[in-house]
Amino acid sequence: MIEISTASMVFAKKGLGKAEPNDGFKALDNISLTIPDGCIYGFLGSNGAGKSTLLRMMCGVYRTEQGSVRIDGEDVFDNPVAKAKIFFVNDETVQFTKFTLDGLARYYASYFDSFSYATYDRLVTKLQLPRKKRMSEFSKGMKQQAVVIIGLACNTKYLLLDEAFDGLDPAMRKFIKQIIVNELIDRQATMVVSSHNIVEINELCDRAMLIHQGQMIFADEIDNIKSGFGKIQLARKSGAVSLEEMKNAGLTVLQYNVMGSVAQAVVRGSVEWINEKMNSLGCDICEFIPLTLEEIFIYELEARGYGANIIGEN
Amino acid sequence: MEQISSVKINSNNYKITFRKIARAAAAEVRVHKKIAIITLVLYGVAFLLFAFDGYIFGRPEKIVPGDFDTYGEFEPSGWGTAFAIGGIVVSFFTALNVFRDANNQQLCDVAMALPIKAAERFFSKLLCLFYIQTAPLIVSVLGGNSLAIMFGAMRFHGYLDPETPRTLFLLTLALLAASLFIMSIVVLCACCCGAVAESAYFSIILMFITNALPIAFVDNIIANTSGFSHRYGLLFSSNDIGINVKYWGFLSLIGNDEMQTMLQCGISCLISLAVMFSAIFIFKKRDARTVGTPIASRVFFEIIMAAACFTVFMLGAMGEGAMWGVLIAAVAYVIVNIIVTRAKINFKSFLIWSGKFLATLAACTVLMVAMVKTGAFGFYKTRPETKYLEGAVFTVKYTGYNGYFYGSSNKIASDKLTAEQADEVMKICQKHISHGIMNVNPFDVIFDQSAETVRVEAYSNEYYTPCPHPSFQFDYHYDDSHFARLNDAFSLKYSQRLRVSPNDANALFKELEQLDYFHKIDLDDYSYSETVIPV
Repeated sequence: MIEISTASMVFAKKGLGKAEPNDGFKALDNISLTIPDGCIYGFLGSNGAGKSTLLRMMCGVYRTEQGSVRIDGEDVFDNPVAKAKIFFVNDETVQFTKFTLDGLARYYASYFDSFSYATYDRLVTKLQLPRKKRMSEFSKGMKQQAVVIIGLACNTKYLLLDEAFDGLDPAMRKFIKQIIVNELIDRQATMVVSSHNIVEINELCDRAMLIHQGQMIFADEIDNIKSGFGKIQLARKSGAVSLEEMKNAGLTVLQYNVMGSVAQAVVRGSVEWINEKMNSLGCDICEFIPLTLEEIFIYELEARGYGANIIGEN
Repeated sequence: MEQISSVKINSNNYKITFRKIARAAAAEVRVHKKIAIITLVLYGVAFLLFAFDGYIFGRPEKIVPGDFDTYGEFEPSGWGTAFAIGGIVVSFFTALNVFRDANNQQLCDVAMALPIKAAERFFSKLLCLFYIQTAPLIVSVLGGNSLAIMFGAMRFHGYLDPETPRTLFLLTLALLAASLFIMSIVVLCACCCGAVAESAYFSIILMFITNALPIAFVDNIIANTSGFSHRYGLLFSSNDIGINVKYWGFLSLIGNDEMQTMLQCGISCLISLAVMFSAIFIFKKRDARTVGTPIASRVFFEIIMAAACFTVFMLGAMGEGAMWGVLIAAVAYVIVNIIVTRAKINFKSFLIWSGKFLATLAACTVLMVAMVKTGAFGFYKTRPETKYLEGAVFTVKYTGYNGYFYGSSNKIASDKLTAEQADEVMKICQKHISHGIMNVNPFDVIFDQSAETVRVEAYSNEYYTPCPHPSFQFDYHYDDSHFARLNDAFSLKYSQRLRVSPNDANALFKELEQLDYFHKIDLDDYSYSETVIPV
């Protein structure tokens, strides 16, 4: 289990030394999160939200100065025992270009005692990647496949993927995802994947969290997240339901608009609870529409002003 | 079902072992295969040249057992040494490459996510440097030259100069000292900088400082403020008032004799290793946040910048260009700051740089004024041993300003003195110098070289004194009782040249003239470098 407790991260302007909150850019602010064993966890967030920072903190690339990040009960920074359980694939592959695939496997096998050449051979054969060719000659997608193969061959308990599917074509994307899921299910391992592709997270993950400007907005099972939001349409002959009326009824409104006597709003809460509140507003017609994860993502961020300027300008 | 990573040990039980470090080092070597091959080629060629181009001088048929002068004398291959130096130059890039993950975000992500402690990672890099650089260098120099010596020994029937092993050891140690020095500087800079450009050019700046500061400080400032012979330089002087600070860097390769060079190189190797290993304290403190930022350690940056300015001031000050030193340092300071801040400058940052620069300049000036006033913190009182001056002849000269130009206005010389008399003269001179240095304006001393000075010199008519830089010498008869020696490099035993006030100079002359073994001489002004020695 990965436990992140009140973790914050500040990028100092002045190099080494403990950074004060006002002395730089605060990338993470009081993040608490538990990632149970055996799940596939999705990290969602806007650009620069802090997803990659959080992943790097989870694999010990960043030191946790405030709060803690623990892997199976142990702090991860500079802890080889905890790090031996994690493999991190970042969003770039340029660092591997001077390796051949076999060379990269040998490199990681030097560090990971759990490295399995059997898994490596099986996956390389399955994906038909050239073993002796320098990775600088690989396409971006091939490089991503290669790193994922190495990650799986390292046989770690946790696999962290930072936008790892971005270079892949849709067919290969599906294929790779299937391979990863099969491998992880076989081993009952845990995967954490960050992506901007919400459909992908929706398909792949059983849990997700949304982060924005370093602050966590929500984290839960995807079904719970989806059932925690809804779009309502309320029609009333005597006039549209106003925003104040909705708020007075106790609804948490993320977005509101009105067309004639019909009011539309995106609200937070369970289906039962929202229905109960809607009924109290005395409308002629009440309708509840469930939201997709993508809609929740957009409404949550819009409610925090993200993209509002751009939308306003257009 | 495959077994998930089955690491059962607790982190408290984790032990750093050489096996893990060696395994990681081998992986590092494979990563840096290209530069390793280049280095091996250079050292391989050096090995062959050492083996087949090394010389054994002498004539085997003239060997007289027991007479070392007739034995074969070993001289290592010059071309072999040149190729080995080529390999050493590559060590700069090797060290920079091996520590590349300290200044590249992608490589850092890979390196820091590996299940290995920072200390293991650091030591594996040092071991990698040993595998790629140090071991091939030692094998090349020792192995190649040993083969040359073996071939030579066969030709000379085993009669080789007994100093041959020492020559070989000295060459190996000198090249090793140079290689370790470069690598230690680069390792330190790579650990303190977050960008590859800064790691590279700060290494060059630091190499400049470590080599130039001793020259600037000892050979220039201490020499000037203590008054001891600047002409020959304290660093390169063989007399017994010389100061040796050539214990780290390329200066350590220059010694007055083999034993001294060996000692200097040995100490330089130890200091380089200490610097390299001590960089771990910065390396361990770092995480990926400092990767990509030009400077990871601000303390390091400020120290290097201050030391660089200090060195340039020192080089300029008390030479001909104190103001040039200030100007060059100021321009360099601003340029480096612009590069480091990646041109993110505003008026406030410019003010901060100016403040820091002026503070460094002020500290430097305070130090120099203190050194002038105290005669290099009392170093001016250093005197050669009496036996060293026995038989010496003193000349004391005052260069004053006559309203139009500076010229010798007073000059006296002694007869050949006994040890006791020499001691008495020294005491008198230093008494007046002690008083005199307190009465001069230190800024005149720092910024204006052509002013009133008193010069005390002791010569010997013993012909030869070893000097590392012998130069032209010519003796000629001045009159029936004296001969003059042009260029006194061989015979100068003691020289002190300090600025004192005219009153102090007069007092000194008055007191010396009362001694019956001193007499006033009147040579032409152009005889500036002449010394009159009784025949």
